[in-house]
Amino acid sequence: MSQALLYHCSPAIVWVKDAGQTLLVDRETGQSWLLHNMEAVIWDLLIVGYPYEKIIQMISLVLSLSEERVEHTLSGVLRTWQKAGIIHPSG
Amino acid sequence: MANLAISAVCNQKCVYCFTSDHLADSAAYQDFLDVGDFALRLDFLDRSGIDQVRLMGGEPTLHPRFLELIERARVRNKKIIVFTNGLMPEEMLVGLERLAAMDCTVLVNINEPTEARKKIFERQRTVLCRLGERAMPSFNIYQPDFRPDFLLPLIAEAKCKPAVRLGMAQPCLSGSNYYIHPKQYRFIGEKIVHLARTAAGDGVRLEFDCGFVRCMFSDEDLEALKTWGADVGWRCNPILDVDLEGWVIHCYPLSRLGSLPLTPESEAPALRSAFESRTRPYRQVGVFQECSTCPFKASGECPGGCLAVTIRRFRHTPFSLIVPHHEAEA
Repeated sequence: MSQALLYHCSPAIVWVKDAGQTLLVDRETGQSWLLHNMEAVIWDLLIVGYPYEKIIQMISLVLSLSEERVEHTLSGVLRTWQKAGIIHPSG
Repeated sequence: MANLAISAVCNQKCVYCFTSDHLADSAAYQDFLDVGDFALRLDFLDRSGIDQVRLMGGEPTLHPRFLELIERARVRNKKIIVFTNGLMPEEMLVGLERLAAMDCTVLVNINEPTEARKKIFERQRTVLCRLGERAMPSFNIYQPDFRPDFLLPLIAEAKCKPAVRLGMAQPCLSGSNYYIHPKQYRFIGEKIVHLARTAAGDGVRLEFDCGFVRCMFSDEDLEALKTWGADVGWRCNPILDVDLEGWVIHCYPLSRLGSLPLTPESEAPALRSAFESRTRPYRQVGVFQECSTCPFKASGECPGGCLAVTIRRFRHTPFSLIVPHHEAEA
């Protein structure tokens, strides 16, 4: 069954952009994640507030990938981040 | 190394002071450390194998029983280090004058003398002169156009230790104090090289406090600094500051990163290790974007600057995202 889902950034997550990578840290648990390549691009687009469809279009354009492939990757990344506690679903 | 706060009171208001977060968070603070609690602090130092008692504040010499605290530390054969602004009561100055130079170092933090600070500077000069070889001036750089020229004639006149402890103002996590922005480091580095060259001519060496970074200096300048006897070092590690209420923090700038209680079992290495674990995630990066790919950081030669500066680079961004066709998991 298909339904809309709203993700939020977890309040404990802080981030910094560095040379070629983005570092996320959970202020409460001390866990950290280094994002590279498409993950880092997805994060960049999320924090500036782009909607889902726009994120897919932009990555598709920049990386010359089909929108289907980008959406597949994006879904996987979001699931991974949800499991890690970086983002959480609501609604 | 561990610093003991014995006074929350200070008679100066330095714009770069990094204790502001900690003092603001501790509104119910007592003004001075209880003498009985001081014995517990000495026990902690004994357990940790630390033979120095490093007294700080606020202004430590304003503690009404300052000399008694020193006496108690001396009974345990501790070497005394006092971090003071030099504006100490006469009684405390007389007490410090009685200590042998080999048993104590009084680090007198001096700001640039200006017309408005003339009286303050005169008192600091007097204190340095009277303490002589027990004293050493320290100077905090908190603006790029600093002018440290007054230090060398002062050292010559006071006949104090022929060295200057140089600090570079670092931010509290709140950023409420004046501090040097990393963009200014290279410029500051050039001025330090100039100071070191002049100082070496007078037989005075520079000692670096924490937070300096290697890339402030060119390779040639770094070699020259070493030739001139400068104690060049790139450090950012848990100093362990123990506050009046018996809480241990990584250091004052990072006080909002959390504290640990000083217990009858506490030892410095375990506390240091706990703070290292707590700060490890942030140490993957540094004060500059380039730090994480810098070979000197990778090799451990440079830690990437002050962790308070690094942590202030981090942001929280409360974004949300609607995924329109989410496949619900069965």
